[in-house]
Amino acid sequence: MIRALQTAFAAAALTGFSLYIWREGYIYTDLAILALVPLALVIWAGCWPLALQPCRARLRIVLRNESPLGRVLTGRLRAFVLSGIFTFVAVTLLAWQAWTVSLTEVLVLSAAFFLSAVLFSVGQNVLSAHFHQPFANSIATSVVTWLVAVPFTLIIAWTTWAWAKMPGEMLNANIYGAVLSGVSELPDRGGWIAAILSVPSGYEAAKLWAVVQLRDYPIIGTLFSLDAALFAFVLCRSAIVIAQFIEKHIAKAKV
Amino acid sequence: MSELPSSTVKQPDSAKMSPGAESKRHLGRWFWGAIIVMALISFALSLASVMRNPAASLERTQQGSSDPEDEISAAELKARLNGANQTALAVIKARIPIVLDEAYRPVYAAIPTYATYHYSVWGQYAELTAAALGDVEVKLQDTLFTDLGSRLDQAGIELDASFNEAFRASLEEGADTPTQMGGAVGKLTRAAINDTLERMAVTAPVGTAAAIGTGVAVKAAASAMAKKIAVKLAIKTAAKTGGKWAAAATAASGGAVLCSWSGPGAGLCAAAGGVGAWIVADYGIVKIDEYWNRTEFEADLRAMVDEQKNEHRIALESALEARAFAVQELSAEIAQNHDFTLRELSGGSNAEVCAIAEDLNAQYVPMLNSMSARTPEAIEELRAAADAYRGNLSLDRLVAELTENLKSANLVAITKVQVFGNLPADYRANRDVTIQVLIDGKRYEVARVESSETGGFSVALHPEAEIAIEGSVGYGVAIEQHLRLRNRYFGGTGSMVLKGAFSDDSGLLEILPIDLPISLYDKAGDLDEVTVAPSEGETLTLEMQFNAEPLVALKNAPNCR
Repeated sequence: MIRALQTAFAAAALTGFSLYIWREGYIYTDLAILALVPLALVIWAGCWPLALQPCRARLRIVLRNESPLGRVLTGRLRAFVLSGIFTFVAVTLLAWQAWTVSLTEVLVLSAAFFLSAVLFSVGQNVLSAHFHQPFANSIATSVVTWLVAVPFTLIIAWTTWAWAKMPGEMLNANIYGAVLSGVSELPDRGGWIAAILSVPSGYEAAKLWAVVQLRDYPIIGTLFSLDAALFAFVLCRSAIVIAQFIEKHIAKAKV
Repeated sequence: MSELPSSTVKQPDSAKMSPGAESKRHLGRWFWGAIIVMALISFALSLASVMRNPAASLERTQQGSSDPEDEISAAELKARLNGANQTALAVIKARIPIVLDEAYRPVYAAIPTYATYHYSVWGQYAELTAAALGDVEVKLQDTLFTDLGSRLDQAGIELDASFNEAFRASLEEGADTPTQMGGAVGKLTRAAINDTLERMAVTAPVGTAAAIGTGVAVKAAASAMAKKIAVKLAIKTAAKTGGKWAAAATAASGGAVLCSWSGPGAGLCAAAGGVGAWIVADYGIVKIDEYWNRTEFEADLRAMVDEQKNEHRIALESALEARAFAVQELSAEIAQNHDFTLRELSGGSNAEVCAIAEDLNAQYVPMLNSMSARTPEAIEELRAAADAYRGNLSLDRLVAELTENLKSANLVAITKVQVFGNLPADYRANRDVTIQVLIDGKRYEVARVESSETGGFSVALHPEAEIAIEGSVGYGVAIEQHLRLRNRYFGGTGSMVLKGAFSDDSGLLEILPIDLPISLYDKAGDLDEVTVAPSEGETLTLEMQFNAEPLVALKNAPNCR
């Protein structure tokens, strides 16, 4: 258990410092993105075995040993693509959330992150007693993600619905004005980072505009909150991936 | 959990390590090293953030990121703006007497100067001449009220500035709101507050209201005071003219004897003596008058100035309250465009909100131009229905507007009373009568009119008395019949419940005829002493004309598709 807590602490420290430097530094310079590099590398490196090893295990069962396809179908390409996509999406969303998040949300998201890392660390040990590797890791990843992300999605959805402040200008804005309003939260200096972040910002603003326009249907507001809370899945999966990296590459092997 | 430092690892063991363990050790160093470096950078950034100078802080605010924790919701913002508004109103109301004292100080200081002028022979003749020409107020205006108008305008401007300052200070302190956030607010809240401060500078300024009212009001005050002075002057002149003629005649006749030596010029000499005696007598009378009456005259002037100052105080307070109301409207408008939560947004669907607004409007519209629709029950029901939606993001402004409009919905004014009829048969005569009408405890007197034995009398007056629609109105008539020896007094009183008194098609004007029995009241020596309420006897007819102001159509309905 101590080991699980240490793993979670290390994962939280890496993610927290990385995102904090990004958030504070991006106000002044685009170079703040360098703070996300360690986080991206760790997520990529953590994601890689999770994507590769189950695939290889399946290939070992599916492919004959003497098949020349064995040299091509190594699972590396698939793992590379999946890891790359997840890393890009996760880092982008984490960076965007870090830019816009409130203190209350930080507390909720930190709890989800820490809990995911701890449960994964504990869960994979427990599941290792019942399942072969690498499936124990895959199952632990999946189970813990759902176990933590679902309740936290509801919690985040509730806080978004009840407490998150939406800009009042949305009440009278048209779709174009709403998107501009969302994008205007980014620094005026522009740049390629702002161009990337303007996608989630504009998307969120457009969604909010739709919610305002469809006030007739309160369910739309609820769905908007739930949609915003789906980030919890990315966060939990990121915590698990980072914890997996630490378990595999940083922590001492069990004696 | 972390790798042990290399210095603590024995060389032989290290040499036996597998390549995987070695790379793991290196990776661990990099990992923890990166975390330590990032922790140091984070610490440095935090320090920089705390020690950041105001300019950099402003730059950050302008550049984008705002902490949503510092933002307040639309409801909180509205509460905060309204709190500041009320605080500013209270502060400035307390300042009104001070600025008025300052503006009126030269007026009070000039009273002795005017009294000196008034109690001089020259002043008396000048005032009499001015009274004959109808411009007594010119001297009064020049002596007492010079620059009062501009001083009052300045006072209005000063009150505006103080109001703005008090409003701003209250907002910055945040001490009057439930949020208690102090001065630290987020970018959006700051923008809303700044927007309010900028726009309120041109919202119904007291200075403008005062500038429109003061010039006219000062002239009116001078005119009213001049009329009172002219009346006193006329009474005084009539009283002392006889004495002066006597003195002049005596001097002229005595002068004729004394001037007899001058032969043909004796007449002229006697006339000069008469004029001199007139002036000396005049001087003496003025000085005696001053000795006995100057203090009272100055006190009268002060009382009139006090009255005028009080009217200005009321006008300024009204202008300030109008301004506070306009600022409240502005705050509601700004707050509606401020932040909201999805919970507030979904307080009701648009269809539901529109249905509620339509329902409120449907209850309100019949009252716009109909007194009969403004029953106490209907007004109270509408007020309660509106109150239920107070604080609703979409309906709050409509509720505020309805509540404000309904304040005057329950008032009607009695704009005209026509009294006609005759005295009891035993007392009818072709003699004048003076009639006093009592409305809701207040007496209105009509000038003496003719009354005939056969036709009686008919008089009309315009009391402009405001009555609450849910109450009843007390009325009465007191009549003085002017006889040669001793006047006779008659009277009668009654009351009428207004609820249900107006017919459906009356609109905003209704004339209600009332039969009022009167009888002789021989205990009275004056009209004010007539208190009698006979249930039978000669009956007069009172036609009371009730008027109500039209209500303003609602403007703040939510946007309904």
